[in-house]
Amino acid sequence: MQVNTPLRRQVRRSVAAAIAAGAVFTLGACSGASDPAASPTTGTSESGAPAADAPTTLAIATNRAPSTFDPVGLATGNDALIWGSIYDTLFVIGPDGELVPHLATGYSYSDDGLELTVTLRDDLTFSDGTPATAAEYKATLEHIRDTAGAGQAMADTVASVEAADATTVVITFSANDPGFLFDLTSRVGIIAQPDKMADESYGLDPIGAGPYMLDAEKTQSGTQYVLIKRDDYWNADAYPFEEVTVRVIADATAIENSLRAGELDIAGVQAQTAPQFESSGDFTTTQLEAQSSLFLDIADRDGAIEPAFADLRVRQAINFALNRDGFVQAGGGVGQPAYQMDFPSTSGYDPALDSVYTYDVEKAKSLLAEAGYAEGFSIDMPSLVYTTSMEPAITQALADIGITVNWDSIPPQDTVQALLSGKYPVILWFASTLPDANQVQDFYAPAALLNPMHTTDPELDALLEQASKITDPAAGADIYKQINAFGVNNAWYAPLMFTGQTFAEAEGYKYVGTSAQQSVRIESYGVAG
Amino acid sequence: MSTPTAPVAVPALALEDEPAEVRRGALQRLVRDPQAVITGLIILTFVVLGLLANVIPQHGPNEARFEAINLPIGSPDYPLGGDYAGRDILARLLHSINTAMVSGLIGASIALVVGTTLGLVGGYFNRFRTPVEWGATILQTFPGMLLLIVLMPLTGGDFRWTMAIFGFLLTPGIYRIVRNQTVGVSRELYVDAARVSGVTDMRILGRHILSVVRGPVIVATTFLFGSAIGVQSGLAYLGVGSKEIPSFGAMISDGFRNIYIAPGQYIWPAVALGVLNGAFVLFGNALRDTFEGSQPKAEKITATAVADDFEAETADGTGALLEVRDLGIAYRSPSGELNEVVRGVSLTVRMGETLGLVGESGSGKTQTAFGVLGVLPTEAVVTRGSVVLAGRQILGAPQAELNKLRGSEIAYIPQEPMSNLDPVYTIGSQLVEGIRVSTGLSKAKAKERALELLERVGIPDPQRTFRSYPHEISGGMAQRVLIAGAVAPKPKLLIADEPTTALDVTVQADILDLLRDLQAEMGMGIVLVTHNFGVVADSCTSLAVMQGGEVVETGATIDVFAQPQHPYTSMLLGSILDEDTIRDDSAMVLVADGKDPR
Amino acid sequence: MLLFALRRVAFGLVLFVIVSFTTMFLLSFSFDSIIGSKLGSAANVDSIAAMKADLGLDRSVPVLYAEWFRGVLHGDLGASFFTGEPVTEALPSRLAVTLSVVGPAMIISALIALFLGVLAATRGGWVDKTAQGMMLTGYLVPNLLIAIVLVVVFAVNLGWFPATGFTSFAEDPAEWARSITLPVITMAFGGAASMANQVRGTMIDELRKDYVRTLRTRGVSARAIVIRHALRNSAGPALTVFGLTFITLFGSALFIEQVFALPGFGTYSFNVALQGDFPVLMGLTAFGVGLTIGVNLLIDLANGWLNPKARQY
Repeated sequence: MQVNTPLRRQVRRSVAAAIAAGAVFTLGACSGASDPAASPTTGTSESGAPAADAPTTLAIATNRAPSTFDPVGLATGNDALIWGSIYDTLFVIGPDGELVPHLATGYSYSDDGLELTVTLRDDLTFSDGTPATAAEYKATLEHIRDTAGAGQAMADTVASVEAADATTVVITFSANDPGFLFDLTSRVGIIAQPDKMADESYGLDPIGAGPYMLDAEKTQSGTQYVLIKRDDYWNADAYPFEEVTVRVIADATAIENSLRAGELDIAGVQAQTAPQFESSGDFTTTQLEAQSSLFLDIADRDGAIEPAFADLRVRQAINFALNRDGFVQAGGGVGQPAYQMDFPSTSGYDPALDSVYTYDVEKAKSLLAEAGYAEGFSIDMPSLVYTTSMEPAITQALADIGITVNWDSIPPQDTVQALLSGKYPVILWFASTLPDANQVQDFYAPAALLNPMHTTDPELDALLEQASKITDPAAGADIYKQINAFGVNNAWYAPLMFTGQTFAEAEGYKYVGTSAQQSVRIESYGVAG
Repeated sequence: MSTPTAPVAVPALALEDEPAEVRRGALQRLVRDPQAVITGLIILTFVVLGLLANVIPQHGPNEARFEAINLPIGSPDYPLGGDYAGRDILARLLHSINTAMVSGLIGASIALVVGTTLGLVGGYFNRFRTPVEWGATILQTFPGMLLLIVLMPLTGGDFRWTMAIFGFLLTPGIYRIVRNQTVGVSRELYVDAARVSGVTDMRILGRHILSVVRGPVIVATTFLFGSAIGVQSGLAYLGVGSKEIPSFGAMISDGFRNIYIAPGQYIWPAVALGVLNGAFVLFGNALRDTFEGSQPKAEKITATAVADDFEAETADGTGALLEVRDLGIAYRSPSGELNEVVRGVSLTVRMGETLGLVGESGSGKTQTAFGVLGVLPTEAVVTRGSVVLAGRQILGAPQAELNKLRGSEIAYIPQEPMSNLDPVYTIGSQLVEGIRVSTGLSKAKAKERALELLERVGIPDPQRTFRSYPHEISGGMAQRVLIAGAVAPKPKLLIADEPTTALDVTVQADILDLLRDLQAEMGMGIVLVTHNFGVVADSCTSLAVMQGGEVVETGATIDVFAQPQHPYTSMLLGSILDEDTIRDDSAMVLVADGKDPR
Repeated sequence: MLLFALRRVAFGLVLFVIVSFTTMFLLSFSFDSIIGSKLGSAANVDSIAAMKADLGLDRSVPVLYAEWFRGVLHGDLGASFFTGEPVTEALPSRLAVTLSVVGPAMIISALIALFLGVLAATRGGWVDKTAQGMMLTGYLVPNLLIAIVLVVVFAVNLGWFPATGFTSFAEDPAEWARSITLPVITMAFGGAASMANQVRGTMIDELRKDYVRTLRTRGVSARAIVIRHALRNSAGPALTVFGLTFITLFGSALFIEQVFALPGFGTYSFNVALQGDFPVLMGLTAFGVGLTIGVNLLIDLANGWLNPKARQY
């Protein structure tokens, strides 16, 4: 059975999130204001009626200069906070991981799942005052689909897009693509002013339908981005901040210094320092569990590079060798051990799977011995900038069962190529919170990024075929659970932990996002009380 | 963590008539220098600790244990605690030493080998000079740090490759030192001689030139070693390169990130790096002192220092213009004791009289002259004696008092005319400055007087010379200018230190004639320091012969020439006929300096 | 003098071409990974080849270079692959930040270096020892240590200065001064130390020259000798040292910028180099080479002006 999706179609989310976010995992040190996942339900009451003396400006930091604002070049991850505020998206992810209409009011699939109809709000405008309708969305999506760039892959199953009327968009797919619905919370869900899209300068001077507009005067590309609230936005009252400043600060310690010196209002901090912030009296803290996941992708399941990995017992041995509680403790106790790939907030998550691989070095060793590798062996792994701080612990865990790791230093720009190269039997990787449909596509499909050697399995193929037909996310839980269980039982991966994030908030501010929210949204930043 | 620029090597101080020092082996001298010993020991300690990196700590540098995360100092098995990943900080620190040393070795040795080769080739073979020079300039122009980062895809971030590239970037530093030395040495007579007698270029380069170049290059290499360590740490701090390799920079970066959780982690690598770098810089300085003469001491412009027990005698009127009695001048040895180079010299000069002060080089005659003028180097100490000028005791007198006498009472003509003129001011402005200081004339008047004098000393176009810079006139002209400067305020006593030695034979007689004429005109007393009896016979009424810092014979010129009392005088007189009028060694010095001796 | 200047400029130009061409040549080896980075998750053999053709990077290096150089002559360095920001706009804004720190740091450390160096060279005794001790301290204490201590004490705890960031002079001069104070102090610390030592050495060399002795015998005061003659003659070597230090400070600004989160040239270069943003990298190289050549040219010209002997070349 073939899942009829082109190769690059699959390669789109987890890696993009990773590369763009510049998320840096650190034991005992989660990165700065980076990778906060979140997007609260907008229009809910908590930020609707701010107190009279509540702050009206917000200063936050990102650890990496955003890419271009050209819709096709948008990067996911941290950048989304800025472009998401300017362009906005058709849907957003709700606090429990559910799809919440935002610029759209609803959607429906045709029976075969090849046609998606989305209705838009009728009161949308661009920051230049012109109305934003289905026609503009169509132009935006076509621009993304037809222009070379980082976001193009997300739209490559889109056969056609039509504006039936001012508020109705009909998207026709060349193949089933259940993940596309969730992509409407991301890059393909934006509405950009098409008139200027051909201009070279668009990348620096965007015009969108979102709640904020870029203040070109105060913004300095790569350094500081100033967003001004649009009072003519349909839901302007839900946004408490008149002005939002996003500063680019690469060094995590500098972000923390800046926060402590009162120059930032909310920032991610190391979990261990949370008590310091709490006891200072000037800050409150918020902790998120399970925001992204960290895992070993045992890509060489067929044993092409290291024959040992073709043996299930070897892959299982790796799973038994990981002291996942230790990893969590090392991270300051925020986050939770991961024994399966599916995020706890998704319907495919199955608590029963958590007891399959408990930490047991002796068992790992005996499995290796049974498989004929009592003496161990050595493997090459790519050392990626985003995971370097986790490497010592991984090296040690594998060394404890006799597997020696040689890390190859990979320059940041070669991260994806390193994964795709098929040179590495095992890769330390990570993914941000994903809805079920996207998880399945990214982790298990024959052409998935995280399946660089294109391993297939008849049992899995059948499940994937069923999954590709799911058009109602709520109805697919059973299939997703089976796929997840397949991954665990066959030890395609060695999940490590779901990482959390600690935010420190200055007086009057509050981080209101939740773990389930995939993208970084301005709505996650709110006022206290 | 900036790359320290290696301090510019200060050239050795060459003092004429410097007290002969027993040459000890460089190594021997180094061992006696406390700075070299201490810093050398620090470096050695680091090396040893690095070699014991697998022995002392109980853990490997990459062994990560969850239970050791952020352990405090003094924890069992983790004497310096554990880092953010649960690794032994002591183990990482010791292994970082090895990384630093390897970085230094790679960077410095590439710079050393390539730079020395290029320097020898570019300095010795004229035909390669231009291309090699271009290559060095290009290397120097590359934006270094940027290049190292840009080339990451090629180097794979491996610090050894990075350091190899950095070594090439450091090459121009070594190259320039070697080239300059080579150019100097290859013009030496003995090298010429070797070349003429058919010794191959390779042998000359290897045997004669390399041995001279060696010292400065070793010194520079020490500084480069430090630079390479600094850059490697810097790159590691930024996260360039393998995380498996323990490095001070990576440790600082880790500690910095952890500063609010475990502040101490940052201190260890920072201190280790600082101490190691400092040890290399100071060791390099000590090496330089050994190879290139000691680090110059501060040069305080003041009256000559006097010995603790020195007490100047009160002046007594013998009527002589200059009465030097029992003058002693000493230099302090490294161990602190005083070595006298002028030992109880006594001289007398009357108005209108010329005293020849004769002796071989190193006999103390120039030191005596400087002692009388009060312009001895800072290191010199007056130990005893008296110098009475026109009835006033001037030995040990304060600077302010001496300045009043200088110019108007006592004046000086140096040996080497060129180096005695300030190269950045015109002849005129230098003359005017001196005249105004000693006579208090207005600027216009002083200029008038200067032009008058220039004409008087036989300069053909005084106006033009007045406007000229020193490098624009010939040595003979320069000496005339200096004479004009000296006699401008009509001094009573003129001290001329080998005034003709550096000049062309044909000019020498003119200068001596000029001095004689001026003396007749102004009635000055002259002390003429010379090694040349011909000059003495020609110009001096009396003479004093010096040997080993003592005056061995004095008397009227005629008497001494007729009946020398001291065997040394006889010997000197006996050699007049053989002696070339141009002193060989000074000519050699000029050749070696790359100047045209003419 | 004019001929001298022209020759130096021509020499600089040739040097510029050689170095920038070499850099482009070296960069050409990583074109694929640069484009891969630009395409992100959409990268594969076909898309890389397509975009390479699209951007014109499939042409030979000499052709690319000729085009780039023509752009340089017209003041057009292209635009960033990743943000679309024109290089000629991106560089000045980052430069302003770095120069705001390096400039004052350079001036302050040069003044300190002159003062300490001359004092140490001419006074001797405990003054010299103290000055040398200060120089050594400045030399040995790592810049980063100073930086972090300054931030923690004066910014985070006392709140006298901002911990991070930069305010432009045009926006608010007082705030500008506050924002550069700590970085400037950090940077001046090491700069002053290394320069002072060299000023001291140069001054001592100069004071030991023959003409100083001759001036003394003419009754010229110590003050006049030190200031009018020795210092004036030291100006050339000192200027060379200052120029080299300026380039070094500029190069090491990266570390200071990281700690203080200054959006300066160093941070920008580092990020761009990591990303492999080809047009910006070439622009940076052009600027870096230009800076080195320019500073050297200025030093040469100044030396020519200061030293009458050099003028004749």
